[in-house]
Amino acid sequence: MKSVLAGWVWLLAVAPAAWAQSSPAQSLRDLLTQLNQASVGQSYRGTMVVSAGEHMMTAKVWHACSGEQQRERVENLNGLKRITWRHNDTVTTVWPNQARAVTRRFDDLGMFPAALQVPWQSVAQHYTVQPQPTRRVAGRQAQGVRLQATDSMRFSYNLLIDEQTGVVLKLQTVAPDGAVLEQTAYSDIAFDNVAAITQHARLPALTSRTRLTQERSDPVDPAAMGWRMGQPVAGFHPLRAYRLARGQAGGERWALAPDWQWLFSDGLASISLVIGQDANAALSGNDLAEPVAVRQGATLSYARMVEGVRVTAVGEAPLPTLQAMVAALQRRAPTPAAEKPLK
Amino acid sequence: MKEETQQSTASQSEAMAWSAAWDDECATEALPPVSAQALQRWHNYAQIGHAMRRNQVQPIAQPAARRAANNPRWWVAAAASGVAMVWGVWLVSAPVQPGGMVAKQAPAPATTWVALEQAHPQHAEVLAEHRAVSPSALRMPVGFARNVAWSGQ
Repeated sequence: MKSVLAGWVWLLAVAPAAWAQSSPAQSLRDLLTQLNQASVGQSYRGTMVVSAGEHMMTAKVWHACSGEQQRERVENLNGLKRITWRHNDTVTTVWPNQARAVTRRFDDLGMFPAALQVPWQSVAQHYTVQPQPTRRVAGRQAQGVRLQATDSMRFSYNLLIDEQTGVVLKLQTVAPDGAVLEQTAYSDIAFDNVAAITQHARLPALTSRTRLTQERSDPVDPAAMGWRMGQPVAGFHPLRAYRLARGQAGGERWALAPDWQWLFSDGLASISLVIGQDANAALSGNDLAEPVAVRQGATLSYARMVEGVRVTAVGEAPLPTLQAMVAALQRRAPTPAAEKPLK
Repeated sequence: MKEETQQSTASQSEAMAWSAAWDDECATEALPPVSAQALQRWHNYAQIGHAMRRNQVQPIAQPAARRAANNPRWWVAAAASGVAMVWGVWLVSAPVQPGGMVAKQAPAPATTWVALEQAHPQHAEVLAEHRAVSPSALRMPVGFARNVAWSGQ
């Protein structure tokens, strides 16, 4: 009880201005804003451990941020060697042993909370902030906070936040029944000045024999594609729809992915509806006799046929939520504008 | 004493008159045979009636449930309450959309859980792509590195 009280005091301290007279909704948004500001205002390196069920992954992380310049390097320590660099909105992943790399520019990385649009305004309707006791993580004292879902259509989150810097040291995704589905934690972390971290987080020049592929997201109009969302699950708002395009670096030919993706978010959780090509599903082996579901940590995917088209819903949400999102999809005849030639 | 004798005589006369009237209206041969137990029960009732008139025995209170069960209005009210309760449970459990609309969704077909390795290759691809783009307020604080770490699986 005493530590929970201390948690409220700490929460009031991290969001100083508005907390005194703020509503619960404002409190949640203040906390999330504070977490994002801490992530772009600190530079650190550490080892991250992600575990879910019998799976465990570890990665070394370098995170160098100074205002608008954000650099990050994540190097996997399990499986195939893979290093990912992020410089602001551009993410490059390199597989050194395969002499292969993929680079892609995102539109929304680091743009918080602008990228969340409508979900940012309604996030507090679906989650509440509950202070939890302090814990020690990666050798540092951390304040516990629970972002409790207000219904069973989404997961809750337990966070342990570094008391000194506000950086999230541990994140647990919790199912409605209380089961921890996935947890991410730093096993060690060291804060340093941005210059020291940046030299590790800067993408080195790729070797000449590295095959570099570019990816981009081409916007898609769902209505023009012949789809509309009837009644999505409460709180999940459409953000954007796109189709992935790939091309060789320096080349002008781009190949569009056969499926397009429609993104929804409630502010914390996100759901993608991946909608396939119609008619030829059976020929391409994409048809499904019955719906199938796959769980990977806290991310579930659910696929079924909708009027002859394979639709896959992926997200950090319970299966009934994914099922409801797919069930709410409605199909109409596509407009001619949707049939654009490839660029 | 004389007065008491007169009252007794008057009572006997009334009883005889009542008995004659009974015989006239309900001929014995028209009645079904009466068992000894039934006669004993009637006798007991008569004794109880006498005692009650003399305030020696208080009427036995009828249980509320039995009274209610004998009342047709109770059954109507109970039926109405039941219907209201079932409707209420359905209303609370049904997914309610913003604006108060109850979402009408067809029941989802049975779903088969499969391992990622057994799923269509598209599953692994869409999982990785979703992790790469998933918008969330927790994306930059921890989600980006978490998703990158996961993508190796």
